[in-house]
Amino acid sequence: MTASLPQPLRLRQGGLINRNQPLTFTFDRRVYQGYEGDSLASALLASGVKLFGRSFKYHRPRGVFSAGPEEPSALVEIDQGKAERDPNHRATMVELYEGLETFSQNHIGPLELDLMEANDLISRFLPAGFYYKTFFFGGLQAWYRFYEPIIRRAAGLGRPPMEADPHHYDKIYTFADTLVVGGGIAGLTTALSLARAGQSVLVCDERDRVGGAALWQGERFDGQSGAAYVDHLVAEIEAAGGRVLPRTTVFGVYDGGTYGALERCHDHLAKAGRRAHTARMKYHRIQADRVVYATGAIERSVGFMGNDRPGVMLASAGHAYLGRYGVRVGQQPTIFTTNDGGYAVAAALAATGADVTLLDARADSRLEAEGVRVLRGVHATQAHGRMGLHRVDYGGAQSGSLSTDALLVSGGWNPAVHLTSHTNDRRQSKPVYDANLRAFLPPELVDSEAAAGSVTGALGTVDCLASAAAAAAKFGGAALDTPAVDEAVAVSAPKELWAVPGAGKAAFLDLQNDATVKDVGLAAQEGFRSVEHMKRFTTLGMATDQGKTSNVNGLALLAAATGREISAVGTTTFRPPYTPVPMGAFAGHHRQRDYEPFRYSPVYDWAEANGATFVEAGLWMRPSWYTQTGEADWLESAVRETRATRDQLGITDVSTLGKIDIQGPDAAEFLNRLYTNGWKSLPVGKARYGLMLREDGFVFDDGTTSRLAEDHFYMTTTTAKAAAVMAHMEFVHQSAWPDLQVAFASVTDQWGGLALAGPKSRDCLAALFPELDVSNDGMPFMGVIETTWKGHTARLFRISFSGELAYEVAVPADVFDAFWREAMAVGAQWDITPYGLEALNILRIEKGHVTGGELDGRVSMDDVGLGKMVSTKKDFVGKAMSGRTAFTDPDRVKMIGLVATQVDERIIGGGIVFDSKDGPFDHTTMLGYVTSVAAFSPLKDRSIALAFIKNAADYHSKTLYVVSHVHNRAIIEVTAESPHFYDPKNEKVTG
Amino acid sequence: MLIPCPHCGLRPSEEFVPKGLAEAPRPALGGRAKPDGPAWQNYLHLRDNVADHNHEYFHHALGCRSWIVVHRHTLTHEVTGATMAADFWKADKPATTGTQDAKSPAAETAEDGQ
Repeated sequence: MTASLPQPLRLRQGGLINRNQPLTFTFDRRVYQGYEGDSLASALLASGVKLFGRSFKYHRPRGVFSAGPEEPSALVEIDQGKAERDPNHRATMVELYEGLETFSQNHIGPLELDLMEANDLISRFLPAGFYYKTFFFGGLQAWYRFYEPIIRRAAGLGRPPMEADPHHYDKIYTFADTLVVGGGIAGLTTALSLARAGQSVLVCDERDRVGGAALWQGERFDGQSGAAYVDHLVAEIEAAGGRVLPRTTVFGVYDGGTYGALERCHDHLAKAGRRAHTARMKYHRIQADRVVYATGAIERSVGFMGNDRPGVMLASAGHAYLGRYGVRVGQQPTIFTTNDGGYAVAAALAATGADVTLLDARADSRLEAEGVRVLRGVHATQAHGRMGLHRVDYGGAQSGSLSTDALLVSGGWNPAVHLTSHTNDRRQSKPVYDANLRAFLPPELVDSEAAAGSVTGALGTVDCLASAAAAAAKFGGAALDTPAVDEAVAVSAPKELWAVPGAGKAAFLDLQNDATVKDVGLAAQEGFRSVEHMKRFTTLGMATDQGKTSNVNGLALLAAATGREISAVGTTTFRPPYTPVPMGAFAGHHRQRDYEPFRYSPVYDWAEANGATFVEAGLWMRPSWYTQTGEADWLESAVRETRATRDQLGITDVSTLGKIDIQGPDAAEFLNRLYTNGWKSLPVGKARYGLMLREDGFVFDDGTTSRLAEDHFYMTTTTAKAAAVMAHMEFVHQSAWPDLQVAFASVTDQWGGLALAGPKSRDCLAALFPELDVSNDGMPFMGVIETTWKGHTARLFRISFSGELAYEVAVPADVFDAFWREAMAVGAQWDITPYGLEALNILRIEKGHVTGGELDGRVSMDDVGLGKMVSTKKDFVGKAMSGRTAFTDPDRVKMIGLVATQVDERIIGGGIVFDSKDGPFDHTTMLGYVTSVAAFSPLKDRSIALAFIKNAADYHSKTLYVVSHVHNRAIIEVTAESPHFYDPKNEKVTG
Repeated sequence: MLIPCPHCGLRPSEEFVPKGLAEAPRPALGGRAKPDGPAWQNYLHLRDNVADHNHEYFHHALGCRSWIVVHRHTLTHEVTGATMAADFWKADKPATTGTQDAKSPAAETAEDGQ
């Protein structure tokens, strides 16, 4: 089987592609072919495609600039349906598969005729800082309504998917003694040495095939090809127990030997070839004692006019396309180099029969390349060809113009120091500029780090192998025989040339952001001296590639423009991630309900089957109301439930309350220190309402705690604060009073609880526990009885939140559903009515009980009318600070009840309270605010509320006004009264 | 970041909830310290917050539920050890245990350290 579609730039032989497996794919709906082993970029180049996309700002036509992850220009969208449309893939990193569908980005209309190209024609009016400077006309409103939408449309990086990501992602902990980042010759050699010394070694390489430049540079190792020698190294590492992960990018270095890595598991496979239920990507959280940075180096370009034209690329890219993919990027290529490295690719291209010219910026170079015409002391001045390069002008020692179809540029190499800076930056250990190598080298590394290969500044494979041996020695690696390197590629430090003389506008540095040599000059002119400010002003080094091919040129030019040394300017801060990581990979399976699971009461199923509508309360799903046939809305249901409870018998699920079991000889003493009131005198078999303060004196939480034995208490907390109360108790116990002999555990999930409330609740309880005396004498208010129900422990509490005669019963969670159903059956004779949170809320507001709305962290005991609940005989958490003068300020807001004057007007939650309806309704006149609202109180036959206002005592029986600025601003007239609307003498509860 | 819990060994920081600096003990129970006096102000509000080694409370909320005091450099994030909060304010507190150089949790919790 052979490819049938033309690939004019593909050589007949060479490369690491599988020519027996042609693959058909599309780019902008046109059909092309490549081979297994191709990247999208190499297959398109082979097919003669030069134009890959449009630039971000000026919409200039752009080709492919590199052959690796540093690619700034050739960004494409991969489309597999609406939810799987994925923008900003680097064509150099996309592996070809059968049926791959790709699209170019950043244009309106066809790629060749982008309507936004006008931006390029007016680009002299769109310099750096243009966005910041220009759009003030018309003010902020004009920015939001007019300018921003247009700019966003014009300056985009592809289209995002508009539906939930259908893929799934895994997170995995991965452990190693030593992590080796980068699977080039240096990384693999170091890894083998360490693996042979008995260390567990993990090699991560971002490419689909490990080996780095050895795969395409043409060097031979002990007589083997680079690819064969790489295979040999990998096999040896694995034989020694090491692991080698291709397609795995280590994107971040974190504290404590933690490294983030992204493994791309199935993006390179056609959909049909993907195994079901496998993750698209795995986020490895790697824990390693040591790390070897073998991250390599990234070639840089030189600033000259038109250096962004499709057909201009890095010299190493031209070499990689030839060596790895068998693609000759031009029949008549020109190399423009500042160092020896350009000669190898020139010779390799000439060997294929291409007509090669090399422009060497150095006048004094003596190097030759076979079959290559060399011009010395010469630099490219301008590249021509909007849609594809066809000519290059040169100047310097001689000037002229060449016909050419590919321009391969080498301005030198930048060691990939990114990862080496992620944590060392915090020690103020920054990348170091080496003026001889003209490159930034890694910062001073800590003991657990080493670097190997070209990231150390090593020039050439022999030096890289030496640096690998040094790195391995640092970590106690085994000695290895060094391979003989034949046909070694010549490498040298470059001549210093960041931009050619006369380069300005249209001499690009950052191809992704269209930042030019001129922009950097403008930044300097505007007074931006810091490289970080220059980055933000010009946008050089931003977006998806983070300036991997442009930063160093930019900062070097800034140094020149501001008359400083490059080392004084320094680099911008390197932060994770090294290359983009999809958010889905960080989320893994922790999304939607797997991120925040629901908690269900044991009677959730019963409630659902009986018409409950649920509300999320924290993680809990709690019944809000139970709809009966014919009821129009929630309020009608809630009011019916409230009335039934007041008149007969209600039942509600209180399983969600926090429950803490406290035991030990010092348990009572511990409670004494936690709560404001006293606990030592509480007899066994009694419950007490308790109030907890924070140490700063504000109210923290409330609840009822019962004494089951001398040394055994059962505490309840509010649903919302259950976890916080537990952590608070642990903190004060462990940090302040570790000598107290007390232990406690959360038993929230171990017990189910229900409340029976209403005049018939005693009858119902007696019917459920016929052997018990639950009369007012046998079980008085706040009485507690521990008994059994069908052989299971049952705890009965005579406590009330509703203001009615009421009991709570707790049984083990696994029998709670059965107990609830029995209560419903037994209670049927009194028309037992289940009530939800809404009715519970009406009941407790009528009674003036506080909950989270009132206890919002800003109130004191006095503010909520519980100032009497302080024992003066003992110390407790918050006691000292509750004596602060601010707490006795007469201007403090205190709790009060409000009743709507009009039957049909509803008080609004969060409304602001005023004493005049004339306004202004602002902070100068506000008295306070509403915290809880009953939309309708059967007791008052209208809406009531709890509120906090200044001088509350003075406003009893007075008319006030509630205004909600976030609702409809209607002025609601209310009357203030005691918040204890219902049974203020507590006769119902105690009778 | 990894935190050397004296009870559980090296554990990932996601298992912990930080509370803040441990710079002063809680004033004595039943003492005469005034709310606006230095003892309470130091305990509740005043923090040196130096860009250097610090002692910080962490709660091993998704682990053993211990409150511990972690010794951490706030610039480099280097963690040099941790102490049980229960021991931290004791005059004769045991040696700080657990450093990130240790290989196994057992080694980290050994009282004699490295």
